[in-house]
Amino acid sequence: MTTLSAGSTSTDVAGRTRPATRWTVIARYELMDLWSGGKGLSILFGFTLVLSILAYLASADAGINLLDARESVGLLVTTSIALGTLGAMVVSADAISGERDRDTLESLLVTPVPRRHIVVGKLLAASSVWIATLLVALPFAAVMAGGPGVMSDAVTVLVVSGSLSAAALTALGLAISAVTMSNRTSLVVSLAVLLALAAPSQLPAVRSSTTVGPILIKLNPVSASLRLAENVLVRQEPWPDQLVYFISPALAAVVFTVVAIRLAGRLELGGSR
Amino acid sequence: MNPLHGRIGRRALRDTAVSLAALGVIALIVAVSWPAAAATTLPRQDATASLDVTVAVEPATTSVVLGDSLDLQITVTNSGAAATPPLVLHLDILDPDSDGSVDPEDWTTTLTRSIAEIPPGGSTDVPWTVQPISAGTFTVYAVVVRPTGAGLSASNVTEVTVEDKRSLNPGNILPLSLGAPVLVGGALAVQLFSVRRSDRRGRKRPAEIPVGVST
Repeated sequence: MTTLSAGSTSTDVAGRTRPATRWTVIARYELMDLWSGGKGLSILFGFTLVLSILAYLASADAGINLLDARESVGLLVTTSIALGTLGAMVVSADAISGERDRDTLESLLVTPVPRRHIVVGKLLAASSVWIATLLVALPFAAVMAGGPGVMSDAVTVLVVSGSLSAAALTALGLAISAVTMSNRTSLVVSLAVLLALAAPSQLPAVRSSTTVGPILIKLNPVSASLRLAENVLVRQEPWPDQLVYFISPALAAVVFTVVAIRLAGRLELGGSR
Repeated sequence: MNPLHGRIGRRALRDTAVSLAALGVIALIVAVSWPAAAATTLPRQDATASLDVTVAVEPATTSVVLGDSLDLQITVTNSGAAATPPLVLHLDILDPDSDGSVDPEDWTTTLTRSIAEIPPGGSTDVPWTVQPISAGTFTVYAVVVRPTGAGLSASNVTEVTVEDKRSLNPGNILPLSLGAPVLVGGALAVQLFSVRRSDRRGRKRPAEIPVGVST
């Protein structure tokens, strides 16, 4: 919940208000709400717990040569991308529909902040969940990599590809949250979209296809990121061949962010109750 | 009727429809990815007439530490008067102390290999590397079969003892695997405790304010 006071707007040296920086005020309040209210740390704790168990089991398998270091790091990186983007998307899917459900959207809309600034601020705050999960995942990747080569590949995949996917899905979650009238609907739709996007890279029919499968995987930002991690870390395919897997996450990040900001102009009151 | 109410009602209906559609997508994905029970047809049991070949697996008894590879040597010798046809060599693994089955594909990527014709009195050596995936005592044997028609010859059995190798701290991951959740969980606990404490203080405050004092 974001509650702004009149003093939240920043002023320049001449005493004029600067609406261009109001999104920073929203972002600051949202970040405080997210990380001091327990929600952000709860998500991060769940993520850390899952990652710790996974890392221990993968390292145990690597210890008896059932997995090599690249395979175990690949497993860690793909899981981190999937769970990290899920956490960020859940937070962003709650951003506007949650305010609507809690009857706090009205007070937010009457504050002297342009609606697109509200959306940008909330988007940045939700993205902080991905940054936090990234900070947790990196030490695990460093310990499990066992060498600078695997380590640099893992960090590049996590930071670049994972961040693009997270940005795309966070913006998508926010767009869904802006157009749905209840939080429940927003969360269900967001999770269904995430599942639908992640499924193609896991379905045997798509994975084994040599015609439609690769196209579907490259078009889909989530499956492109997961496939990139697999190709680079497990199959050790050269980086130049993998650049194509950055296209759809980057495009999706830009398009969904623009859509979310555009939808902000149509924000209206009303709820499912 | 207030047109806003009608619009909100329509949006609520639309949201419900969208939720149902989303659940439908989830159900469809689960249904598609569910492993279909494959219809299997058992092969016809042909007579197991012996081939004029002998199969030997060496060493006859061996032990290996879990995680290490084991090199087996399989020798197929033609003990007949005529050259053998092309044959198929198959490796199998079982756990005699357990009713459960061992999946040999976990031990080796190839379970079957082709053998070219062997002249009378000749032999073919086939090296086979396996990697056990669990500790215990296992029985390994090989059979040679004709690709078509009857004929089968089995080897001696090799007893493989796999010693367990477990580390509490595999790959030095234990400190991080324990430390990271403890750190984040501790921060969460402290945060929740402080939030509750400030909530309690907030509830107590009105009673603590003396009557008549302006706030």
